[in-house]
Amino acid sequence: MGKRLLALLLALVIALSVAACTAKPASTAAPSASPASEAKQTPGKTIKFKDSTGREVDVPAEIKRIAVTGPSAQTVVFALAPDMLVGVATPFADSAANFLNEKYLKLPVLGQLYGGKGQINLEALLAAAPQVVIDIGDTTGNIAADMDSLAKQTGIPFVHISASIGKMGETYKMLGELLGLKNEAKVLGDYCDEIYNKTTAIANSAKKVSVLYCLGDKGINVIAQKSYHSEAIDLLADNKAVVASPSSKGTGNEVDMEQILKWDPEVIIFAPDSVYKTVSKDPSWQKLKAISSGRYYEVPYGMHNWMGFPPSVQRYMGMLWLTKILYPKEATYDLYTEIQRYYKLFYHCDLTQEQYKAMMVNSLG
Amino acid sequence: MKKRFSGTKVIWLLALMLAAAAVCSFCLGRFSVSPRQLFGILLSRIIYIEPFWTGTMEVVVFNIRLPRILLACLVGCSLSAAGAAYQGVFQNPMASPDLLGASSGAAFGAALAILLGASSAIITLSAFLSGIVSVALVLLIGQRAPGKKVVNLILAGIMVSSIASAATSFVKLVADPSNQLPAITYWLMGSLSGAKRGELLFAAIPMAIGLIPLFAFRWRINILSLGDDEARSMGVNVNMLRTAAALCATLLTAASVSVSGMIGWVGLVMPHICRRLAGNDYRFLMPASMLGGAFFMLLIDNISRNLLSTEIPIGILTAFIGAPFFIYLILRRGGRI
Repeated sequence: MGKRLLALLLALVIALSVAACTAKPASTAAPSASPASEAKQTPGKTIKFKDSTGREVDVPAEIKRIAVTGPSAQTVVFALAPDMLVGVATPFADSAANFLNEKYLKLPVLGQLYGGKGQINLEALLAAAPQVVIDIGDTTGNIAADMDSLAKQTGIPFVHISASIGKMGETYKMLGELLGLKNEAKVLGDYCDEIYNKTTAIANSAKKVSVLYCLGDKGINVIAQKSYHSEAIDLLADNKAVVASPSSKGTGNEVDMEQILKWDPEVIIFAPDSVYKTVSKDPSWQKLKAISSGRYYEVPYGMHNWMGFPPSVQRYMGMLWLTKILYPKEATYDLYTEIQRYYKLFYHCDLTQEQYKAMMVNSLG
Repeated sequence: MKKRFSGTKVIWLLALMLAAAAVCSFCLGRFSVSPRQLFGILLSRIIYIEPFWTGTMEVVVFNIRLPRILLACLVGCSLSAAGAAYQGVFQNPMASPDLLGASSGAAFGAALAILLGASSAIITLSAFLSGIVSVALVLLIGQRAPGKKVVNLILAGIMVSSIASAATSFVKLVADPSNQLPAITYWLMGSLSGAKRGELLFAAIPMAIGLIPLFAFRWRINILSLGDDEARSMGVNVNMLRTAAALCATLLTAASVSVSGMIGWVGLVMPHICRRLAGNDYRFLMPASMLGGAFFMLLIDNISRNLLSTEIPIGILTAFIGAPFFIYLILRRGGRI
């Protein structure tokens, strides 16, 4: 009796291992099989593309269908090639319905990829039939290995392009080369570099204004200096929030009211949904210079939080806005014109004066 | 404990259900492959057939579906067997695969590797090793402490688990919120998405080392229920037996968690459900748990990869589907679990 069962289990184990072994040639067969199928879909040859990890990836010479691995890649790629996307990583915010063309809102949600695992259903990804999958973000040490193994498993090339706030020009240049949209990419890259140079030049020419970025339902969480989310603030202002261990979380470091009173910055900006509306009536907040002088603002939220969550290209709008409210004399540009330009370039829609006003109602003092 | 069927029948029934579920799973997926094409693709491995399918279909079947189905079976089987073993070894119905800290330890190892920006292969390895180290620590503490061995082991397990959980929380606190934190959170929810052949082979070895002895010596676990003195009088080295079974179960747990993330519930409850079907005798209970766990995991994974266009973390599904079913069983049959 027991022996029969043992035999059964052993048979099962053997069957499994045989299955695993017979499956093995499939991995070597698959890459040879998949380019054949791709060749059927897209007549044309492949070219070598060197991505930010230094990998030489074979990609189709003419790319028409792409997928992205996460929200930051989505924002960057959407600006350049919205019609090539076969799906999005995360659904657009509800407010996007007011701005975006309906066809983009209908793109299927394919999910997000975190390292090797993720929400992306690989079969759904293959069913959407992208010719290349693009990952954009920090270039961490082992991203190349993950990209390679995914490419091997799916037969679709995966490329990684690095991005950071001061170097979006290069990011767009690479992306433009990959997608055959060099001129369009140059416009976007130049825009990013232009805004970066313009706003930092203004901030550097003036005496840096001291600032706190407060968030949370009590307003006592701050985005500390040198933390991941304070890049834009640190560039443009004197971020008063200096703490021993800056948290890289989007919720910042929690401090107490006494500490905020001690810092007493010239300007305070509040995250959307924080305490912006109630601070003027709160006796302890009233003691602050920024509140009593009226120099406190709410971070604009239009499609995304402009100060960067997730940190992506919309931070250039944040930089334009922050420079305007911190250095009104030096920043002579018209903010509406600039933001309208951003919307046109990156979201492919016309931002009306009314929409702009509604968005900025608490943000310009 | 009443049971409806004989143990052998239950095992054959479960094996049949598992085989049927495996065949069905092959036909299911977001990428449509017709049964005829599927059959052709599978058969073409053995004999030559003129392809009437696309290369992408072959990729889907061999690189995505096959590793995933095998991994689901292995993980379900291992977690459930580990749970059954722990419950027998510690004579405690609350025992589950995370009893000695293997899961929490593995979770910490994975979180740390993600924080350091490791590739997915290193994350898996780090999870596995740190699960093993946690249990080794627990065994060491249990050996040194005076008094009741079993109680000491369980207490040490709880303590090491809570240290590992605290360490994981700390890693989450300092992790980069835009990519690392969601990666850690997602990992902790458990998922078989992105199952690859490499992961499968990596997990299969420790799983085989754990499963085969547990299966071969399953009747000995029955002796532990007699109590230590009685067992000793029958010439069984209780401590060695207990340690060996715990080590096998630990290997199984660490290997499962390292490739699938945290999947709770299965290891605790599947052995109980099988107990209702096959009875308390480990000669039948152990294989029933193995087959039942694999069957259940396969079922859940099918939902996870087919219900929505994006993957649903499997750890969430096991609890949402399994727990209500178990409550229903308790209410319907009444009596002791």
